[in-house]
Amino acid sequence: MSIVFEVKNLKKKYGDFLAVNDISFSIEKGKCFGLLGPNGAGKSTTIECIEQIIDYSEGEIFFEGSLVQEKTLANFGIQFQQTSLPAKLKVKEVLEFFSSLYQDARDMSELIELCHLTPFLNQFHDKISGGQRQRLLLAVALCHKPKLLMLDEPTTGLDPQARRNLWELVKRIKQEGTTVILTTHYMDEAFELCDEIGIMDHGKMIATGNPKFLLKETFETTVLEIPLEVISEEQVNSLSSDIHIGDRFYEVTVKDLNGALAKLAVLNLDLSGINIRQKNLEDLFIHLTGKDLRS
Amino acid sequence: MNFSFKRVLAVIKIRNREFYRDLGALGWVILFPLIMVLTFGYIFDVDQGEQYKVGYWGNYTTPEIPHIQWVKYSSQEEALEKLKYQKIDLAITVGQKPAVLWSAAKSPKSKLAKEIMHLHLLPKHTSPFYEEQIEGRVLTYLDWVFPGIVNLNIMFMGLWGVGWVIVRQRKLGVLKRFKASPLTSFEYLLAQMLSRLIVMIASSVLVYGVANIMHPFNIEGSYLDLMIFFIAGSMALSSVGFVFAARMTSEELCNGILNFITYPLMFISEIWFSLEGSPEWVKLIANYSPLWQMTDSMRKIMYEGASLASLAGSLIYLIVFGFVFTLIGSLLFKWNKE
Repeated sequence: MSIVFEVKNLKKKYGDFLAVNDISFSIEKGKCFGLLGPNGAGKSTTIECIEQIIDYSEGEIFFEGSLVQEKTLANFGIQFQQTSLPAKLKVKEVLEFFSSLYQDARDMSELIELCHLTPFLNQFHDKISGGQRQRLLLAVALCHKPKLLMLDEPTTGLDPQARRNLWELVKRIKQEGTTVILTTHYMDEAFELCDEIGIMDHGKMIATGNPKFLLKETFETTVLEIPLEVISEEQVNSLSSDIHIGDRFYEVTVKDLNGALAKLAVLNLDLSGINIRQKNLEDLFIHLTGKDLRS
Repeated sequence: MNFSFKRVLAVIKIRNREFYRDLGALGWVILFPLIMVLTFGYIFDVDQGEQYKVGYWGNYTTPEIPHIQWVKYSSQEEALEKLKYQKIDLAITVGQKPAVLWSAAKSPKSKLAKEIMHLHLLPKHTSPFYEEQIEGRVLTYLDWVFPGIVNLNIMFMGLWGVGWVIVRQRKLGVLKRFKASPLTSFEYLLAQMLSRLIVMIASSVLVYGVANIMHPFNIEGSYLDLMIFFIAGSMALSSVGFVFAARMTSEELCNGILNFITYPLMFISEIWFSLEGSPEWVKLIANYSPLWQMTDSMRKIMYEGASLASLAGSLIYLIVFGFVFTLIGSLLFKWNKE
């Protein structure tokens, strides 16, 4: 698969403050690249530099092998994290307006069907729910059939059902062959949608790669969560040297899961309350930065 | 990016929708000038004001007379021209005996001013005044103030309806959304100006229609000339809004600055009262005000039947002013808060 988009050594300075600090990444055609990081990591700034909403200080951005220029931007679509639509307009009028700004706009009925806008098409855009609003903003970003779609924290503040609906929508857009850049601080979202991820902190890219590969590369261990009242301290120490005592569970990190389970079986304990889980992206972020993702 | 009139039309369409769906703004734009016309036209017309302006020329030591303000002119012709259009209430020739007191026929203010002059000056004169009257149409205060009120409304619509709206859209991130589309800053600003112009014309025609029913205006000049000045003046006043809205992100600061501009402009632009008799420097500053150029020219067309050719200087000034300020606004314009 060919590289369709590439960022090289991108920097964005505000005075002495480096909001984006020398980051590089590339994306293959039709793939979804996730930019992960806590608030203030530089994700939105990176997106806005790519779309040239703000000027970047240093670096180069390429699309289909050429340096991104004003005319290239017609290939990009963006759903901003913080934006407003023109006031006093109905959903249908918003779509008509943005479509009329482009020479080669997508068919309106196709867009309405794709983003499931029919039920609230004639409502004023400031009277619809958060999930509906995000779908409308996504439709606005898609109204000119962009080859590269940028989604800046599209599901922040949405309820679980609205989030899952939007995920399905993004998957459909990917299936159309659109390349996607997604920023999020939800690990499950990144795991569900992204083929590649880049983890950002303090403006720097601290890791990039396939999420499953990154986890496997970083962690060769499994976590056993055993209720505190089930096992004694002496017994738990016999399982592993890497033990974290939580409020309700011992978190026992083991390399040999089968061996640990065999030892537990010999101890003749009530194992109905134990959990076995793989290390996830949340753990990876803590491992890389020493802090919680949403701190 | 190539210019697209289709995109300009699209922005005009949504901006006008926003305007007519905002009933508060719609009501205010129409009600404000009507309330002003009613208030200043009728209430103040009854009182007629306390000051009467008397023009003179040549060397004359003007006596202090209550309610009389003396205004010096360079010639008799100039003073009588002002009297004809009731920018002053009386004119007096003092270089001969008997002195001639010129009044405007049919003007109640002129008659009152004459009475005051008789009361204070006659005992000191050995011979009575010789009186002359010049013919001119009767101009009430409402006739005089109406173009000023309409243009004041245009100024408010231009500065707040264009300038303040741009600042608000920038602050809310609407402009950021526009920047991520093919819309250019020139197309956006042009659309803002044209959409306001449509509203300005529609609301002013409506206000004129309603006011004309209450108080018929006899327009001596051409309606077309009036419209040309209206459009040139509206664009000039809107262009001032562009410059101040070019980068600002605070609605409060924008509001303060716009107030700071509008109040002096209102007072030096002969909206409520004539500048006859004001210090020369005030008149000089007024000459640079697009609001004054627009209002003075429209009054001359309405009540003196002035032609476009005779007002060419003012028209050129308004067009150049609008072009220069729009250019500055476009060059300074930023979509973002950054």
